[in-house]
Amino acid sequence: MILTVTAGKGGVGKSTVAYNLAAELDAVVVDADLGMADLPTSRGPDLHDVLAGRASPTEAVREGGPVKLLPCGRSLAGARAADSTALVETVQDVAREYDRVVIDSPAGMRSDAGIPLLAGEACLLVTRPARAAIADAIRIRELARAIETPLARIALNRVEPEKLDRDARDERLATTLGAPVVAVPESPALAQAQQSGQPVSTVAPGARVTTQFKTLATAVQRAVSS
Amino acid sequence: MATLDWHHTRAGGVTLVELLVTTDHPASVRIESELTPVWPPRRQGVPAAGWEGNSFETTVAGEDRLVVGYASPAEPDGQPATVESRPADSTGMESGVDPETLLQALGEAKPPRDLVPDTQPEPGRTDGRAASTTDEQLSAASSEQAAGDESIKSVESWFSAVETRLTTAERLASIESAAQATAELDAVGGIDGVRQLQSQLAADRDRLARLSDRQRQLSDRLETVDIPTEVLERVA
Repeated sequence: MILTVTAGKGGVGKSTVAYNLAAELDAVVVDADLGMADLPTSRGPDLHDVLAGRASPTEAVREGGPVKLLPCGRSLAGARAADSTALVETVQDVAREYDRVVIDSPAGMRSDAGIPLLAGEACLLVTRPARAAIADAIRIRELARAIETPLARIALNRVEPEKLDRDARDERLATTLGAPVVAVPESPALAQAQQSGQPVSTVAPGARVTTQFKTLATAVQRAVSS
Repeated sequence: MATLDWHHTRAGGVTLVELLVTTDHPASVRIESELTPVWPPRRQGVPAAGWEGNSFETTVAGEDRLVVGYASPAEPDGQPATVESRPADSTGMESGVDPETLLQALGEAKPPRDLVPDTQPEPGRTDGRAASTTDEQLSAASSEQAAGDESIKSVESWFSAVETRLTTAERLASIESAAQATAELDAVGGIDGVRQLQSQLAADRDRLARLSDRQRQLSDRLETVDIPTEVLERVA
């Protein structure tokens, strides 16, 4: 399974959702933001090296952390040298070895966001309950449609906890974007976990945010395998 | 072949256009509005899919009819739009999109070359692409080197200009006769030239004092800095 986590807009929590979803799915998360990577990295070959032909995809996967990760380099020179079109083959190689891959896609509508969509069997759209975020979600939804990558689910991220169960809102959004919505609450535990490079399930296993990620993982898995 | 039926109404300074496109086989159609600017239908503030500027693109199934509506502040003058069609299977993106097509369609998203900082080329690059990057880095490095050379040159030319001004000033300071004074005054452009030289020398004095402070600070720091290369080698 290759799932692309996308958003159009930056700052809606794509990387956080991708990381926690990968934890639930026991997948490798690929940080595909070649210019502005978010997920932690460490010494060794990274996605820049893989896309420049200097390392194989599987040797760049870090298995030691709480979530298996193919990190991305931070240097601008690395971003320039990387051949972004090689991403499709790269994630396919990783999926052959590890079965499940979650791609953390960059913001925007250019090829750096389009190619991860092309590489995914399906996509998960992360948005926030804010007008600007939803407008961008519609744009990236159209791009996914043009590329013919099905939309598996919508993650409505950082919802105020008391507004979590609003079925009418979720239905409206589902109709607008064309896929069922799972709301993820705003959570200090999630922010702390992300900062320390942990999935929230290890820090707050019983929290509502954790159960929502589990729900999202199950739903996505069902949508992609069906 | 696509046929176009149209209808428009004008109300409150706005023309509302309705188009009906029919084709005898599945086709990609492109509608171009003659009325500009176009106010396309919007969803959540975003123009509906297919609209770009004054044109609308979509595909029409053979049996289907396409209905398109939009508005424009322009006054209608005959047919409000034109339609072009081509067989549906000749579309680019919809059928078998590949990464290269996508890159072309959406645009490259790499950082501009000028932003890439000067770094030493990494060893062990083998393929053509990596080699060209090395070239880029080398050219970035050499251009920075050139910029450094340029600034040294400008400092040197400023030094020699100060030296010339000083020589003139020293000559003026050592005048012993009225005839000599007249000759020297003529050479520097009269009393105005002397005053100008005086203010330039004052500026030179300030600038040199600042440079000398900076030079002293940098020299002190250079004296004390010591990179623990051995320790770093052990960690690396």
